[in-house]
Amino acid sequence: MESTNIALPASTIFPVEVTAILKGAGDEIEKFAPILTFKYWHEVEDNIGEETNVFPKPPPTMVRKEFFSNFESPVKGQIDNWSIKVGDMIESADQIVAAVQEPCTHAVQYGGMCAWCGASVADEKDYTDFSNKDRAPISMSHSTAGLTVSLSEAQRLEEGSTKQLLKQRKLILVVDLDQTVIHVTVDPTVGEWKKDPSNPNYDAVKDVRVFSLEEMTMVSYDGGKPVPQLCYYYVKLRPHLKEFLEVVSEKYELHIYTMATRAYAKAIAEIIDPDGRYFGDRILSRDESGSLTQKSLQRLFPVDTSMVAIIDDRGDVWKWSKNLIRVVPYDFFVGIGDINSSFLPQRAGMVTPNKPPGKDERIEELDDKKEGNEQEDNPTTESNGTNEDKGKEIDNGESDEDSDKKEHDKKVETTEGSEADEKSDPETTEEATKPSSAPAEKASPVANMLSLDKALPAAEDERKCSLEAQQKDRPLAKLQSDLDSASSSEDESHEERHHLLVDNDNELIHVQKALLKLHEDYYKDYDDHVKHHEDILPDVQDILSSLTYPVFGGCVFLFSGIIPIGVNIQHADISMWVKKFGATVVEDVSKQVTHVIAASGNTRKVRQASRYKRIKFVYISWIFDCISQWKRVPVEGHEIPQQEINENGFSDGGEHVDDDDDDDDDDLEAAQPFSLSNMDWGDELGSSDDDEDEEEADHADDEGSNKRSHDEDDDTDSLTKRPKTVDENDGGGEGDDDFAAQLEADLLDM
Amino acid sequence: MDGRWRLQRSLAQRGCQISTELTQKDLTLSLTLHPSYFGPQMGQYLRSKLLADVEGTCTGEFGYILCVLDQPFDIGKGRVVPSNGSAEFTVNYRAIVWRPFKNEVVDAIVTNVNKMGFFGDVGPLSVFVSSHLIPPDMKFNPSANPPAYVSEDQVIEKGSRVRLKIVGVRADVGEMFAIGTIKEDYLGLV
Repeated sequence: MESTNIALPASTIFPVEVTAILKGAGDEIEKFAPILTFKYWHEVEDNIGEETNVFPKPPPTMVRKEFFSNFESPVKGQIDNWSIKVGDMIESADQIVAAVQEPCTHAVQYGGMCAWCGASVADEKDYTDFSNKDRAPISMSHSTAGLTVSLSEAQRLEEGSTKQLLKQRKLILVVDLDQTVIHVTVDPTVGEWKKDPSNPNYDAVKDVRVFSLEEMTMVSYDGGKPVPQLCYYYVKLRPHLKEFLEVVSEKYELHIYTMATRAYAKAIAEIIDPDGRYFGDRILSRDESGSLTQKSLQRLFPVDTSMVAIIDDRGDVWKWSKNLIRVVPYDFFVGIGDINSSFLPQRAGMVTPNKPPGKDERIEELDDKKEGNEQEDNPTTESNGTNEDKGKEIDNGESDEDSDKKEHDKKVETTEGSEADEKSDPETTEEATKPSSAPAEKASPVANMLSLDKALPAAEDERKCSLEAQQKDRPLAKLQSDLDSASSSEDESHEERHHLLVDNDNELIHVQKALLKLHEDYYKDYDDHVKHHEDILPDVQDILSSLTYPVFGGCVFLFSGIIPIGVNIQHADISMWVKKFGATVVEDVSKQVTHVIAASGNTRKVRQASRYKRIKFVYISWIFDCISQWKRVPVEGHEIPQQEINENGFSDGGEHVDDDDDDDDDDLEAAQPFSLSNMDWGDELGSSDDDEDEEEADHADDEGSNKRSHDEDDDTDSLTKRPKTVDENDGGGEGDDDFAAQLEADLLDM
Repeated sequence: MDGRWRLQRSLAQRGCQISTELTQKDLTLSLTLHPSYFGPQMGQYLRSKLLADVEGTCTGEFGYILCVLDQPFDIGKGRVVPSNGSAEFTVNYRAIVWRPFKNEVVDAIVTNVNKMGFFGDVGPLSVFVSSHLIPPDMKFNPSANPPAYVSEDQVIEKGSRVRLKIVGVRADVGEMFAIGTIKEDYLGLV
């Protein structure tokens, strides 16, 4: 049994000199028993107590005096050895005085008691400055937060489980719930569709599972106790989930780690794992997590994470942990997003593979008729649909049906171009035809400023608000009725109603393959180590990197029209994601760029980059194909058609330059007048539908580009529309200048 | 409702064995009543309010208040509080209380098993038995479904009934914690 090191309390006036040691090694000591005496020096007033009649009193003269004191043992036990001897100077509380063998080190604590000996350890620090409570700081059990252990005990426990895992040749997999293996909504429309076989969505929702939880109503109007209300949740399992769990559970010990409440997590576990075969009791929910905004592997595996992999649809909550396998979010109920995400920070620059089925365009056309030019008035609309109205501070898109619908429209609008390749590439279609709309999350700035504790009730209210809004507003019903009216006005000959929900997600198949590969490689490494009698265990992190890095290794990506303005390009969700796969992300067009990932062929960066023949122009769908298959798939089928790039005024082949031209800056200089003459601030565009994307892309472009010519700012129209961004590294200063200039102009007008 | 019947029901609901140490205790509680409740149903209302307020709660001094008995039950006269019109009643009642003691041997139902030990419910009290206080021949098996401590002839898993000895009790505000052991003779699976 290891001994406890004791030191002088921090409140001692250092330095001190040891004058006597009262107990020898091997002696039994009681708590608070004096074990050594020491002397120390302190400045005191010399003339205390001296009565003087002098007025005013003379200032006290300070004298350094010698004092004696003794040190009382903060713990009970048997002294192992002394680290000091008489006459030694002790400089600080860090210096260990003695090692004491305690009868119990209180290494496991529950509810303020030592779980080994039953002694109370919750008391405040005593005068020896030693707290038993601090000895077991780590909480590592799934369910009970009241149980804590010391570091050495945590190590012991983990060693035990590591041995067991190696024996069974398993790894550990931490699984997120919402949008990773399931998608949940509270929209009661789903319940109605489920009961109605004639509904076009019946096939997709017939296997949706329902459970209910008691939710406290937000305000109790009578002033009495809040009445619990039943809230019904509709759970759609991600396709192939059953097979996934079956296969993966043979190679991995599965854990659930979710930001939802415990009751919710249990209900979901009951649905996806009714016998408790896969997860057992290994469920960690928000109630025990200890943080509302971050997930941490250290919470469950405080010492060693070398055998742990994570699957989650969000990277930011894990701080892009190297153990993370980021999956494409499962977005079955269109526009609902993650109902448990109101606690989490918004996803910055989140992009999903949005390739809506062609028929959704009908909604768009219909809405275009209805809404007229309304959308054009909104300059901040993001081209890929991940961004909703900037002005809105409401967290969830579903809380505002209008914004939700709009968001959906925009996404449809922008991906028109990708339709062609969708048809030509069956793999992609299968993979990503779901009409996904990124969860539009906007945490209010106020909420961000609040500390965690303060945010809790606010965020909880927010969540309830959004749940209630979803139940009341029924965004799904609305979308379906839009779809119906669109299709009925379009083709009346066609009897069948179009369905809103599409059930063809294949992500889990890819994840399963990846996980099996990871397991195989891990144990191949492990066997090698064993063969060579090496003591080190392989690390999942290294193996993951070795598997993912080659995917985009050597690639340099330039995003255009993908990442919303105001988001730091390097830290945007999609950038972090591709970086995990070995890609480099740049902000400006240069010779190094290998791929331009664009929302459409007519953004400025695409035009700038089209001078380099080597650069490939691809849609975001290519990225998602590569990421989910963990290999670089051929770009064919994802390429932005050359004519689309050219038709937007880029027909002059003479401007193309060769790759081996050395001077990039010269090229840019040369290109400037050209790009200026082809600026499309308005009517020059081929299709008016794209105005908004175009503008957006250009803004993004502006903000990201250092080399932007000031001449371009002549267009005051665009100036007024450009939102002020502060996050941006490059364009920030310039944007401020523009803003200031605009402000000045406005003032003069007044 | 008959007191004894209610006691049995409440014990059964909490999975408590009648054999544990239960005592009757005379207690008082001060209840404040809003004037809108003044009327013929007042006594009934106070009674139900008392039951709702104290039954199933835990005090550091007496332990768990399991059940309020019907007799004696004295509501008293009540006093109108100056300035807001509410009335304050001092209710004297007798209740069955249960307080776990150190070194007491109790029977528990296992609720949660993990690598650090297991939790057992003794009526309303949750007792933690650390793996250090489980006989060394019982090994934790995480891959069993449900996870269990297994020896040659015994399995402790969720739902098992165990006899344990309490080695430490601590009362916090509104709740109690206890540590137990099964590493002694005649303890363990029953």
